Amino acid sequence: MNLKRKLLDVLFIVVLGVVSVALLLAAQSYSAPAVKRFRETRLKTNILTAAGIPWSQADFSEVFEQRVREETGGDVAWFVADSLVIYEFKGRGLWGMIEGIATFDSALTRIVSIRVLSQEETPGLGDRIKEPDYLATYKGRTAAEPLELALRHQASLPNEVDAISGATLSSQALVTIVSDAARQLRAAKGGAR
Amino acid sequence: MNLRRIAYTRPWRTFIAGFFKENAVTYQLLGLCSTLAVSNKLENAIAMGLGVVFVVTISSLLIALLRRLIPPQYRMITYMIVTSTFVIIVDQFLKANYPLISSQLGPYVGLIITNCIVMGRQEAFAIKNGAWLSFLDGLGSSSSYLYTLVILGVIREILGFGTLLNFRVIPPSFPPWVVITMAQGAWFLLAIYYWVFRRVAKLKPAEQE
Repeated sequence: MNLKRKLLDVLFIVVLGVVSVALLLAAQSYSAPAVKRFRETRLKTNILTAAGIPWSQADFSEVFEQRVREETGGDVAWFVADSLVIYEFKGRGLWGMIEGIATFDSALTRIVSIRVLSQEETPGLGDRIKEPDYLATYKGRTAAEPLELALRHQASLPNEVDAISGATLSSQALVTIVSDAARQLRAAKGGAR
Repeated sequence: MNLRRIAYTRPWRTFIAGFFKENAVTYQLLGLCSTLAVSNKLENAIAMGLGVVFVVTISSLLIALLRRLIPPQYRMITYMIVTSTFVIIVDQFLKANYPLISSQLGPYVGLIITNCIVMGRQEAFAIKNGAWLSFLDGLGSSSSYLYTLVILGVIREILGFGTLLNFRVIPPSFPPWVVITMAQGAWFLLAIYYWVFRRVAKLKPAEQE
């Protein structure tokens, strides 16, 4: 009797789990197309903004088609707009993935801008890596060699980037991700030539 | 039945207790973390509040319906499975239809799972009461969270951004109170809100368990 009771309990949890998974799959398939559309819109509008091309909610798709072209080298793809090279990066942060776009000059010598599109860092601390004021510290830094986090001093060298107090690991994660992006891009563009 | 009689029925008393006197945020002091974090703008407060109302109401109802089937020693697991299912559905719904609000709310939608109001109502009420009463209890408690967030959201958005639902209501010459958009500023506001609310609800210190 006791065994039967236990089996019934397990059965209850299993049935509950199956129903829950079914509901979640339904929710996932409902939201997936809209999420994909949103991500495309977000990528395109951010690339246009990063390249300094004016756009509006109505015409960004056409503007993107006209002004931006995609290039590939090996299995790396990047965008070119007005002699700027724009790369969509993705990498591991402290808690979750950090995604964004990095803009370089055409020779890949320096960083023009960094934009973080999504991240899951600690609210109030690490999530400051998404703030334009902080990301401005990347502007003009070198893309020709790996970047380093300036700890306990103000960033002054071309390969240094300021750290955020209380969020060293998130700052370091972004520095690594951007450095890797530049390296991958250099390798891919070198191979394409 | 006239209106005055309704006020003395059990369903009404169940609803109004959670909705007003036993306000989830000011009386039970639950869900404070998300209250401070997402009440900085009215649209965030509404989205988050409605998400919590949905999750608490539906999961309380479901737990009450299943209460005779739920094995007592596994009831916490059951709460977690039911709650997280609905939370993820809310999260997916926001991602699909309101992506900007979803990204502003960040991790807090997912964290509804750990919002004490949800499990609090399930364990304190739904597991012992019928479906209709549990539904009203969940609705009352979670609505108290919603309107508290909305009140804080209105004040914080006007003072912190000079806007309401992203429409400018205060001329740009008024300096925005940046501190009120941060969690620290919200504490001050919440303390004032407690004081006012407890005065209005006539809560005596002895009633605060």
